[in-house]
Amino acid sequence: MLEVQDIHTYYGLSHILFGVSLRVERGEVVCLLGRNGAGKTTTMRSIMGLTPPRRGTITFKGQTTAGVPPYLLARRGIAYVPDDRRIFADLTVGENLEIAARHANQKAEWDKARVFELFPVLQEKQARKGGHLSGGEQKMLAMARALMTNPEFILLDEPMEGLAPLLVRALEEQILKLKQAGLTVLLAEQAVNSALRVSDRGYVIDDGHIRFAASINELRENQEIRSKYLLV
Amino acid sequence: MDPSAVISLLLVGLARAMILFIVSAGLTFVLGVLRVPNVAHGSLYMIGAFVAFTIATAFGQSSAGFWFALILAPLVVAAVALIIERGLLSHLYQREHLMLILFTFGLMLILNDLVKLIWGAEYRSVTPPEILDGAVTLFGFNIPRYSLFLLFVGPLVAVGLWFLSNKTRLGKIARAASVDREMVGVLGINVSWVFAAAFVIGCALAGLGGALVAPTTSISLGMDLTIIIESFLIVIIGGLGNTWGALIGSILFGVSQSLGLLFFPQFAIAFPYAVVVIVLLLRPRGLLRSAW
Repeated sequence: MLEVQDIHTYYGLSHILFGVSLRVERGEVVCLLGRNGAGKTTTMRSIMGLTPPRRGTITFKGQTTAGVPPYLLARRGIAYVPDDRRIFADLTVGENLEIAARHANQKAEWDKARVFELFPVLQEKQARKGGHLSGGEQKMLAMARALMTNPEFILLDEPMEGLAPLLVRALEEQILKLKQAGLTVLLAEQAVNSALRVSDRGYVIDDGHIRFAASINELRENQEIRSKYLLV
Repeated sequence: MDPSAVISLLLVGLARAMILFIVSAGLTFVLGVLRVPNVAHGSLYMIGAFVAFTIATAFGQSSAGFWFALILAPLVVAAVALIIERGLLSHLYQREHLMLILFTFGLMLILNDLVKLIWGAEYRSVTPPEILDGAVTLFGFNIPRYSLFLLFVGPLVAVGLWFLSNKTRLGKIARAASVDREMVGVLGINVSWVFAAAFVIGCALAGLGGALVAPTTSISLGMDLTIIIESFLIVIIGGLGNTWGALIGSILFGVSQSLGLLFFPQFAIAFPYAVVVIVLLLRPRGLLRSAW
């Protein structure tokens, strides 16, 4: 579904990604593990077209994404949940969801009722301003808002970060439900154990390079990789 | 001093405040959503007034002419705004504010010269329709009918703008885009057209203000200058991007002008500006919450 080939991405003059390649097949949950500053967010932003790579190619569903603005990539089926949530603070929870709503051709469409099934807290707080939610609730709202666009592929940037352990468990469940619903997920995480519990495969990124690509079992067992690139 | 004369004067001041409100609401809307300080906003107001004159004259300055002018002049200004936005402004959103001010300043000079070319330097006027001509006595106060009409239109525009930003999809997206346009794009929304719509709506309000002021004043070159200065001050004391702030600011400005005329005629021009200074000393970020 997604193929990233040898991309180099810059912020202004600083070179962040050095030839990152990865692929995600339809229906998979793939994690991208790495420390702070390893290049996870930049990889996500490159895929979403927010910080397009200067070199290398990204193809989504067989079509190149080069030169395609983010809003058109969103319409092609990519959704992005940023690590800092980016909730529209002045809009209510309901309005945050409404402006994102886009109809899909598929039968089981994500609408308000269905995202509330996944995140019941949001239903109770529909009339509340987005800025008045707790951090955890904002994370849920950011995910719910992304789902309202009816994506096929969703980029989750550190969804577990800063969540209480109980909420992390709930979120793992929710990610697995997304997978069951047929969504493809690329999950950037520092919380290795959680990420490994929900993913099918994983990549390890460090200093803008992909250091390791492996199955979950290998990632679980390879202590060297874990201590070299992942432990803080 | 005759108290009923005082109240009449206050009401007339309030009516003028409604025009200030309509124009500054447009300015603040563009400032809030697009983050563009549109120095040419006053020129669009002037164009609205001149277009109203042309339309009214085409109908022999009849009552019907006024009503057509009131409806069509904002639409003509909206069309001009759409051309400006699509042709020029939409390529400049990434630039810093100083560039945007210089751009709209240049635009103001060009528009003003165009007005001079098209309508010349003579004074023009629009006859108010019969139904709004003259004065009525309400509760013992003498009030021009046209002022009453303005006191009715102003709140109507306020409610309309509230409805637009809170109850329509476009308004909700515009509010979201004013804070985080990148994220709005990520949701699959073409922010570019949202900005075009917001700019056109804001400028149409300048045109409406121009059409509304036409019967109350002589329409001439230079009428853009006073209004742009006043509107910017109103927008700043009200809180950038805040429609209700623009309403409160306009009322403060309009009413203090009337009070100045009444009590300190020799300082009347300075009076509203003194109010602005006091407000900014007390609340440097404006009376209501600023979107910036």
